[in-house]
Amino acid sequence: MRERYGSFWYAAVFFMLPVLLGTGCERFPRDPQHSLKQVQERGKLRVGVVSHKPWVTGNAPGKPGGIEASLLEAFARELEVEIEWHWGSAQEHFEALKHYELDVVAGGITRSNPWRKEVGFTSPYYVSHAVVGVPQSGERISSVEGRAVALRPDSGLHHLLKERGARPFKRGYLENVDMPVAAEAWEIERLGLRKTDITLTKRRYVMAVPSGENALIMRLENFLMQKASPGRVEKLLAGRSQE
Amino acid sequence: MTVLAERYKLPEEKQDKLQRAIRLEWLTIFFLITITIVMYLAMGSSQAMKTAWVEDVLSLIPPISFLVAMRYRNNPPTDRFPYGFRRAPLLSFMVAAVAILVLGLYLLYDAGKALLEQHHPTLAHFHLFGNSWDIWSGWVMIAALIYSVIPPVILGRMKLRLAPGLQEKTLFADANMNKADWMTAVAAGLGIVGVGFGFWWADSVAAAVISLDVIKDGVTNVKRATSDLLGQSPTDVKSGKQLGLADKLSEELGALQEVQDVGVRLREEGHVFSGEVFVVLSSSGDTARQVEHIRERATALDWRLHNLTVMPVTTLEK
Repeated sequence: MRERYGSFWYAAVFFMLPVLLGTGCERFPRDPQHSLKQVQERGKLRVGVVSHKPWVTGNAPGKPGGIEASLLEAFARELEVEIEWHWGSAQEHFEALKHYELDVVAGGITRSNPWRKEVGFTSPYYVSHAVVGVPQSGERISSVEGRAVALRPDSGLHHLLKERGARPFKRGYLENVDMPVAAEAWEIERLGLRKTDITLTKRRYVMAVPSGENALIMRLENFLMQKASPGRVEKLLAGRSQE
Repeated sequence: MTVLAERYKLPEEKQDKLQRAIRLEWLTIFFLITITIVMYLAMGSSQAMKTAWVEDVLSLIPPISFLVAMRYRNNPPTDRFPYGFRRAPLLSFMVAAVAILVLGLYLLYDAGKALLEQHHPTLAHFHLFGNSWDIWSGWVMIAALIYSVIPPVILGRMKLRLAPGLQEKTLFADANMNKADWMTAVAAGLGIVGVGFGFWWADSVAAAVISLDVIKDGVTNVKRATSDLLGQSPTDVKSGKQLGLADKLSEELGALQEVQDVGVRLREEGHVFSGEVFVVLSSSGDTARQVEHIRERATALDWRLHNLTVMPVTTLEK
């Protein structure tokens, strides 16, 4: 019996030793491929962007705008480095990220993206809800069953409306349609509509870094937690409506 | 005396211990469930944590099969199953043991694959139920691992103290698995701390080590279930050595006046021992009475002897 107790305490010490060492270190966790250190040495953050309104706007070869682009600019300022923008497709960027040729990829990526297994996703910094909106003066509704509802053809909401028994109408634009509208909550607000309680889906927005680069992702998440609170993102989303 | 419907009863003092063992197993199940929940919430994308979690889930199997056995093994025999149900738990344990083995192999494959594909685990801030916490998820995983160690190790010790007295194999195997649990947790913890220091492979290596432990558990349990189902000769649960009970029985019965020659064959049948005693009787008295007497003497020798058949013969071929 005594020797078993002995091994248990060895285990306990074994556990604590690296823990104490770890907290004593300046940067913990570390990057296996030293991404964060290299960003700082290089003085450049290599960011891959995919155009996706309102998160990343603009075209190659210009400087991108949008919420995520401006957040990343602030992040680069915090790291005291410059940004090297790379325009391209999500596929290209994720491939590059996998091989440490980029440091961050942004463009309205959500957590349900299947690339999550190949690259590192930050925790969602913003959760947006796709909801149904109605005109401010119109009747209040609690269900879309049997109703005609307008939506953008590429919104990914068609089947969700179908499930709820609505008759979805695909529209190229949602301004001044004479029926309830299904869209992201911020877009409903931008359209001047009133949000109902009918939530169709949630989208959790993340940014991507190379897989396992834990110092970099911790730093980026820290930044997002402080500078990209839901309230602030919503303000940015609302601010865009004046553009 | 009717032998057909005889039911096995534990001696009084063992009955007490058994009740304690049952309580301990219920406690084990309760704590294991809390552990699997905590581990699941802390798991993140660490391969080692995933493997340790699967092991925790698997360690629910022995206590559950023990409790199920307690419930059903003493059911009286029926017309269709005249030998009772003592071996039913063995059968279910065999199935569970094979499942543990297969899962262990799969976990090893999974860990090996992660290693070959150079999967770099991303451990960022701890994120739960839509909230991010300002703490590295690795620390949370280590805290969960520490929690996952304490109850099983304590309960494992308490069960180990009961197991030899009760000679309950499932209890013993379970206690041993619990006791070995801390090694799993240390392996997983080292894997996570390794990742923290920038060694991406530490996670997969830890997962592989844990999966080897699961495979070991699987192999041990399959072996045990096999020898149980084959009806091995009575064996001590702790040392795995044969008890030599058949020899002791022959010696004891051979000394009886009415016995000229004796041959004994015993097998384990679940938690009890049964078998046949062949005797050459020395006098031609009331055979039935003599046989019953021999049987009583034989059964009194060990508390786990049950349903012995005493068969009078003219000669013994050994």
